[in-house]
Amino acid sequence: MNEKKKIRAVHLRRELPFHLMLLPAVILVGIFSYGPMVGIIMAFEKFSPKKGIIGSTFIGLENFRYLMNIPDIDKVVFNTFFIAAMKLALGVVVPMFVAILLNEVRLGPVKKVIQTMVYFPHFLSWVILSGIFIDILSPSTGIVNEFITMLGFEPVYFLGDPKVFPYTMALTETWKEFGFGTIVYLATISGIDPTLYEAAEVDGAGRWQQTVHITLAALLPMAALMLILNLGGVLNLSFEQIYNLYSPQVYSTGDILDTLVYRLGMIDAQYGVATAVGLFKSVVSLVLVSFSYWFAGKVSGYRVF
Amino acid sequence: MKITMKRRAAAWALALAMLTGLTACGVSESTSELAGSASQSAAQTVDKDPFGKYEEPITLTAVRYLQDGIEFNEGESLENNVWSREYAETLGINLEYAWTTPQSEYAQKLNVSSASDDLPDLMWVDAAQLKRMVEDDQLADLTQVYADYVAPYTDEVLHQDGGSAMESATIGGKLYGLPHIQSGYGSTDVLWIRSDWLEALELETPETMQDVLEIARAFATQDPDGNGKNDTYGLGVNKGLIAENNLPYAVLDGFFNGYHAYPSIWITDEDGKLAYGGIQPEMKNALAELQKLYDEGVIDPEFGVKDAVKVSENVNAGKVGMFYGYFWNCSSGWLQDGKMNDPSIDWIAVPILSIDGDPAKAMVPFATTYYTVVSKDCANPEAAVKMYNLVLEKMFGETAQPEVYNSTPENLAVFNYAYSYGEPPMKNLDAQQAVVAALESGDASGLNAEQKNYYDNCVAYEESGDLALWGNYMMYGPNGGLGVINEYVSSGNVVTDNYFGAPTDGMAEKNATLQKLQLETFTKIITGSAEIDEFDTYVENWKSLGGQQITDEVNEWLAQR
Amino acid sequence: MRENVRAFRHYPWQRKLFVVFNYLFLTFAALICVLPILNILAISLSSSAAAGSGEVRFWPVDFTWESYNFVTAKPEFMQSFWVSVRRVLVGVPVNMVLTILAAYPLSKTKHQFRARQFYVWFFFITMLFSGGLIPYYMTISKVGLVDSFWALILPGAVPVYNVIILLNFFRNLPGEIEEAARVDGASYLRVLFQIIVPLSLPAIATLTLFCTVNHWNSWFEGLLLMNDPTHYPLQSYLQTVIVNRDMSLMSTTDILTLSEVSDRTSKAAQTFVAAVPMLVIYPFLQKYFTAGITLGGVKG
Repeated sequence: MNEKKKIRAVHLRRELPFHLMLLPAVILVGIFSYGPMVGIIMAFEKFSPKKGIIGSTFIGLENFRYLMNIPDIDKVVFNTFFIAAMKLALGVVVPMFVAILLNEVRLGPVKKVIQTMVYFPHFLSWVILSGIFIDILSPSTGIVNEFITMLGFEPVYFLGDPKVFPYTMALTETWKEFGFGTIVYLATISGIDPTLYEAAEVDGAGRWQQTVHITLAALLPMAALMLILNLGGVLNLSFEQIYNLYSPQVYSTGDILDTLVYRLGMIDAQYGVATAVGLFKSVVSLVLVSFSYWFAGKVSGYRVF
Repeated sequence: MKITMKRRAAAWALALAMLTGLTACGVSESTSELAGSASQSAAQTVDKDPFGKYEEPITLTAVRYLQDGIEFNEGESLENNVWSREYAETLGINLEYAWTTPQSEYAQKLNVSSASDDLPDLMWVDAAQLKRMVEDDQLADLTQVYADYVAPYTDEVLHQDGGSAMESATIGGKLYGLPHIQSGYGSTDVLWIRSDWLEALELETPETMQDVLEIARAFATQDPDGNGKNDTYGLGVNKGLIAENNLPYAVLDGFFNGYHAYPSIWITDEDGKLAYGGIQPEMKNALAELQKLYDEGVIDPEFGVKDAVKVSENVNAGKVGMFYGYFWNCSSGWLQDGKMNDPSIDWIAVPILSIDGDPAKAMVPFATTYYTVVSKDCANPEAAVKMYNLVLEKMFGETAQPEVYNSTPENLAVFNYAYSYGEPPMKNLDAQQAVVAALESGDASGLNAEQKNYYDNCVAYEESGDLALWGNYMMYGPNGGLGVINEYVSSGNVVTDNYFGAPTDGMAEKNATLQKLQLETFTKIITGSAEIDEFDTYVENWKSLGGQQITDEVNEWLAQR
Repeated sequence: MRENVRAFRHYPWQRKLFVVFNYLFLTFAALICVLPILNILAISLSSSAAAGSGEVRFWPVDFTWESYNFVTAKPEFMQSFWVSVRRVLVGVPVNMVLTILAAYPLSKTKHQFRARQFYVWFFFITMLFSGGLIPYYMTISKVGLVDSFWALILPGAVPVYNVIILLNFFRNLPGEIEEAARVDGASYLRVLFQIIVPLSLPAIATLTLFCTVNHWNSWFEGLLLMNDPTHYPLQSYLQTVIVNRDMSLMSTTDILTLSEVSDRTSKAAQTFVAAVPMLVIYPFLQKYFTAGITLGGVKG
């Protein structure tokens, strides 16, 4: 007994500095992130400001039931996930692809310039971009379709055709954000030990094989980390973009949970239901992240964080 | 006129009754207070002056939004300007702002504050917030203080629309807000047409809806700009379809009105009951025609993704020849920009025309959007009424000095500083008539400062042709947007929204869904992805998704009036 | 560079083809990223009539500095600009110190720090769950930070995303140096700031950039938590001018006032002016950036 206590005391003394170092962060996160989390119970209440969060009437799963009865809610949920999944996938693959290509560029200044330029779209808001995209993607006067028709195809109504709309959203988002991922992957690549390449060359591996077996292999763990970190937030990504670009013609495939919540004025009036939606998204994210974390651990033997 | 006299008499009678100490008119609510009320009311009766100054200055906290573009003189601010001083000196009220936001953020900030039950004495709310805050028991009942403190002129102005505005602020028989009354007439559609294109194609100004359709088709097919390309459209439409959904520029309300259809208001049917205009059979006729127009390429095939601003760009670039919109669509930032860019462009405003022998009537939606409300915990709810009295009197009343309190000779919009601001609904219309009369006679002496300003700008335009003044001329001058509306009003060709109560429960819950349904269905029909008979399915769906419930609620309200 | 060109000549034809396509593709990618910015720049330098007619493409039409004059003349703009500057100067060091202090213990193994896993999930959960807008506002309000400058700093003081990236980086540093220092009797704190941090300057510089961009670009807290518009940071202020307005609630007079003030060119100018500091800083910090995340990348 005493032995155990002594060991624990020793451990504690040794680990005390760690706890202390974490203390300020823990306090701040405790107050500002966990404090508001109490509000999650609003998802189960009929909220009344005079009664406050604690005092409002408890109504169990009523808010969720209301949510499930909203017309077209199933489509909306599907759209949310579908678009998010595509964004996630493209958000990993495209930057990796560009990074690998960019890495092949020998001219230092060119590489730097391109690297800088691809980061620019990140700084423009969707409010500004929507005006631009409506022009560019126009089936009659837009540049993109001019190009497409030049190649002999029919023009595509990117923003007005419900079949195409989700892909348009995924692609435009990727365009806006791939610069960030590219930088991260490029940096990872430049950290690869060059002797690996030399050894592979000696062994007779061609450039292609080198790329796949060395470069890609080094990027995958980073991709896994980014994927998991982004999984947490991907369901919350799209509101601004979709709100500014969608229209009645594409509601069937473009309406997502956040735009629905916004239109229904839930944020302003039906706090319980709005919180229920948020809770739903959080739980789904948690499940996805936990699964990926476990899966990555099993496959690579590596604890992502 | 009669009503005014009656109300004036009533107000004075009430005041007299108070003065003679008749406390029977429900002054206090609990019997235990009656004992002390005699002496209390004696002291108070002296004070029930619509413009009475508080001997001990009181401080009220308030919140509001600041209009974009609001400007102050050197050294002045929201807390220090002609109106803040007026409240303090004349009424003894110091207005302290707990917070202000730009207009676009106001709703959210207020909602968050009200949900946290963190409210100031005075606030501006919209109809939905009003209803919710009353339900959450956060607002003061103003019925009594209004009756006690309203000035006769205020009462008159607030009833100039027939009483709808006040009605909309009355819930359960009690008044909870002071409406910032506005002109519903200013929210009717006029038809804007490229007059230089009419000339180019040798077409006459339209006189019937059939003419309008012919012109639209001509604009789309006969190359009115003479550039040899098939790149013009005959009817501009934005993705919101009707004014309710987006900006009132390039909307279809006026088009529907031409078919005697009234998309977003409650009309009275043959049985005297209220029915929703958007599901009436006349809508179907209009939609069928729109479908044809779209099919023929008269409407931009991409209208479905373009909001009003985008359409405005197209219009100013010379791609669209005609559209329905509000009277101010010609102003800076809209048509005026296009004209300044290319002076050969010319526009005229034309009234809504009918498809058959019955004259077309303009749809007049309910126009009050904001209300001043008082928190339940405020000790001086009557202050709100007094402040409103002062505002209306000084800006528009008999002792008005508009150049000091409304809009200064340097064009500084000081009316923006006033806390509760309402406009007599006929203000702009009267202004246009006055200006036109002055232009014809050359005698501007009867104009007030605001009207004189418009008049001067019109004169300047007529003399110099300065395009920066064109927009103003097309509003307040002869043949402008307001002129068209004045025609509607004087000939009685208007249909007003006959429901003006607070939003019902059904509306709060189901409106967003119904609006989405309407927008989706109409867009599909117009673009041809749905057959015209889809409209009938729409009507059924509308009813079952909550429309019937709302119709019943609305008629209940009617029955109780 | 000449060497590169010479080398090129000797490549097998497949490689030559690849290189050519690569350059074309990347140039294309870079162009499609830059053109919209050029478009905004052009609009900001054009007359409002031209912009309002959708005429401006990549070159100004009716060149004028008018919108920039208008934008910088507005006191709100400069006011909010300086609020943002202060926010960055205070917020970023706060972020970084907290990030470093938190990432270090979390980078230890389970044996060295048994509560590690607990803390990691403690932080990570906050990335997934939130109580929503109202409780957030109420919390800030109860703590007395509403309308205070610190409301822009403290609630977001611990950027969990960054902490996780940094802890990964720390984990991959060679352990010998630290062990040596510990043997010599150095406290963990000393080890952290005198050894680990200098070794990690690239990663730290990278995260510093992330924090800076984040503070500079965020607009939501400013709008929600400030009572006085003069306390808005820059992007909050811009948001109010550029965002889609709900015109259905505006009175006619409001709309008329509005149309005289805001127009496409001034909005474009405001966007551009706000983005410029970031666009300028970024290339400078690029060298830290690339070297930095190198090691934040992971060993298999």
